Amino acid sequence: MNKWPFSRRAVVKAMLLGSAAPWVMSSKVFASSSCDDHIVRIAAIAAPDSLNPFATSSSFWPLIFTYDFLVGSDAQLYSDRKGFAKTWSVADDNLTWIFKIWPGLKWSDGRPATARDAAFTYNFLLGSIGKPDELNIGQNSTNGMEQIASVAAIDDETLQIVTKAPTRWLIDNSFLILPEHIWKDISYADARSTFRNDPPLVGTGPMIVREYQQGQFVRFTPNEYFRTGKPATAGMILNLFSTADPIAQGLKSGSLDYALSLTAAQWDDLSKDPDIVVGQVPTEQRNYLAFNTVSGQGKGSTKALQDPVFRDAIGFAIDQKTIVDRAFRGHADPGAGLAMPVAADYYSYLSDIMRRFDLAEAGRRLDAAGYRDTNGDGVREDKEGNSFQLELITGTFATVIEMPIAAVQLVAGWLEKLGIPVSVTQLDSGALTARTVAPADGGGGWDLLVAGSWLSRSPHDILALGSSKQIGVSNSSYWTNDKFDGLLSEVDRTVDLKKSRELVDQAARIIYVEAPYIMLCYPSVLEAHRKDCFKGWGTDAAVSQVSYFPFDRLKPEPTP
Amino acid sequence: MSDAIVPYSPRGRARAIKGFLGQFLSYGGAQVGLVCLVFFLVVAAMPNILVGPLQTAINATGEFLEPPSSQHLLGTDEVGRDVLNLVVHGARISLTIALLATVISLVIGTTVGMTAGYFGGPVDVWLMRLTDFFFVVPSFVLALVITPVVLEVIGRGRDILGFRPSLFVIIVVIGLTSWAFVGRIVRSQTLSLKERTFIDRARVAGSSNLSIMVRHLLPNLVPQIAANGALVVTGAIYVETSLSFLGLGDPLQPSWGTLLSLAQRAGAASAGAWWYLGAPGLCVLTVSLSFVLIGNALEDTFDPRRRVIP
Repeated sequence: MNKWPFSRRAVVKAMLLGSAAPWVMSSKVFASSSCDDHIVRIAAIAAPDSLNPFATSSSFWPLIFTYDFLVGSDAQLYSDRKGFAKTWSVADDNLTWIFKIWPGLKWSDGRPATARDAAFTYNFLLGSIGKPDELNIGQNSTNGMEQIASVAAIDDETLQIVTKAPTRWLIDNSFLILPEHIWKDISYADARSTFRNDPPLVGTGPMIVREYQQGQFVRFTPNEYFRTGKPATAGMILNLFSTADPIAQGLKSGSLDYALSLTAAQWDDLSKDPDIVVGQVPTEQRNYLAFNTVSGQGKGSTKALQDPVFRDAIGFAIDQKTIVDRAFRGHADPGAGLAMPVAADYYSYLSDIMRRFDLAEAGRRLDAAGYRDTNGDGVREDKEGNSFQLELITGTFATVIEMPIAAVQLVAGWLEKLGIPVSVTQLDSGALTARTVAPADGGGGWDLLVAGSWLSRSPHDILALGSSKQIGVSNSSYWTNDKFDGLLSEVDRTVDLKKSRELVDQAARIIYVEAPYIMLCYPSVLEAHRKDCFKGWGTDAAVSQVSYFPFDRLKPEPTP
Repeated sequence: MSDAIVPYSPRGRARAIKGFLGQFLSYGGAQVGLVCLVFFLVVAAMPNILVGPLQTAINATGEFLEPPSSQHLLGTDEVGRDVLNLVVHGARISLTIALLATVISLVIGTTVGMTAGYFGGPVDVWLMRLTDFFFVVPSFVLALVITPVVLEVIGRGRDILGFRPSLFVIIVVIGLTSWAFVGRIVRSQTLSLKERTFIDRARVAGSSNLSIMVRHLLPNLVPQIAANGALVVTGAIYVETSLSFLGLGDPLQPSWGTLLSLAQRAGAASAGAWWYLGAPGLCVLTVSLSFVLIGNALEDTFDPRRRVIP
């Protein structure tokens, strides 16, 4: 029997570990707060589930740093933020587009990146249309592809795309251009689901995904073949979190250089730190109150939801200004029409038909429309004589800015004051998606929805909330209107900005009056970065939310 | 021995209760626990008198995340509501949920345990396998899975028994998932009691099974049930807090768990708003601690071994 309380082996192990400790502690792994290793550390609330852009849209970050768009919205606004194409032009018929690819562009494995790769990416998607495994669920999806007649690489540097009707969608879309030599043998079934596109990836962006631990981090190394030269930093680490607390703490302690998805309270707190620069970036997100307007399968608890007069009256009971001030602490723009302020070409305040917050007016309109409280219990009844009791579901869809619960409290409180009691159910993003898909797919059954939608600022996406083709995808209210659909398809076929603007305005007015959605606000994303380790951050937004800027040009601060 | 357990004369009963209280209150823990509990019960009983009506995002007046001051004794939250107001109103919801859930859990646990122990045989085997199921599956995880499903099924419509559906669901789910412990203990005690002669006497006198269980077994089980009940309340408070913290509570009726959840979502910890996290957290801690203290004191008071060897 061994009287020694520890075995000899354990003692030796402990001694070995003890002697190794000084090296471990001084290694770079633990020296995360120093700038010496020149690795950019960023963090966000994100949960990418695969690196395959056909299978998911949840991996926008990190894939955006590794792959290029063909053009994209940043390239149209900034001459120094181009994507895969150096220049683009459309012929006089407004149908034939010529994209000039950067000469000498290379993939990160050293192979030439040419127009053939871009043509491959588009044709891969085009070829899947109508097949059982149509690629319509990911970041690269066939949504919008039906406008394309043909895609061809004329030579290594020239890509020609012919569309069926005039459209701006070709330069507005955000498809990632993928290397043909990696993807050519992947079947549609695999691309849609099982192919995970494991790292190391091969891309044309500045930072190449080298390691990916689901739910933890993504590690990048600089692309030595990047078209403007190898980035000056030694790489990048994207930390994935599910709450904002570790992000703010990491930034404060210096273990992060850039933080996204901050809350208003943290943002305020960080703004007092001299080493940290905070910023707020207006986004394309729209937070709305949607009514379940469907009348058949999946309908809500009362027919009043299908009545535009009822919805319009509710609109008078929503004070967008208070929502912005109280729930978002000013980090949002008050809601008005479908177009968000960042889509400056299409945004209009609709001031002539705007509903002004007035609870008494809302009550009068409900009374006039026949939704009175006849039995005197403080709760209004619908036209069938049933007391109102609406079920409001809320939550945050994947990849959008979190919905503060205070916004829901405000909406529910105002409705309660009107005599319309509301019960609130909070759902996680998966459950929220399951309940808001098209009624034919099992969605519906709720009455009110408070959620947000983040699409691009293209006119097609601005109007997507009311599109009958997008029911259960972008159109969460299940509302349809033939005139609106007509305007939308006309917009899709319009290149002229002025005409397009008029059409969007008309459509936005139709949907505003019919009120399937009450726009609450257009939130800004709150970000912050440290200035001690790197320079070259953007001025209006430190990091672009729609491209890899500025991670292609960040430079380490010289150490003093 | 049996006459020590079953005092029949009214005077004897009064003396027994007096003796019990004397011994119970001689424990320091019991005193602390009772004082805390009475304080929170008073607070929960009249929140409107103490701090005025519940503040909502609509009628909030304070600045955002203001530190404690003379105007807001516990500071304000991220929408400007007074944290003291929220915590006091939260007490009512948290305590109601915990106590009602405990009642459900005690009723189920006692019924199952007593039936299994009294009848024995296949009834015992099947009921105990059911109990084992609730034992093995961690009750919090079970509650986490059941809550959204039940919410989905009955989530619509109006109040149930005066509760909002989401609160009612939490009460029922906690009650349904935390009775296994009580069931086991009651069964073991029943097994021992049913062999005593007074049960045989009752049976010979012609009492039915039900009447034996209710009139003879149940009164003798009360000490065990009471002592464990106090511990179940603690568990219920924790489960309620955790479920609400994970966003399954009712965001319009703040319980302490909901407040913690809101504080976390607002990033209170990293923004340095200790009062927002601390106030509801301390309340949960105090109340559950006082229930544990009371439960332990009850257990010690009822423990026959302590009675024999003082």
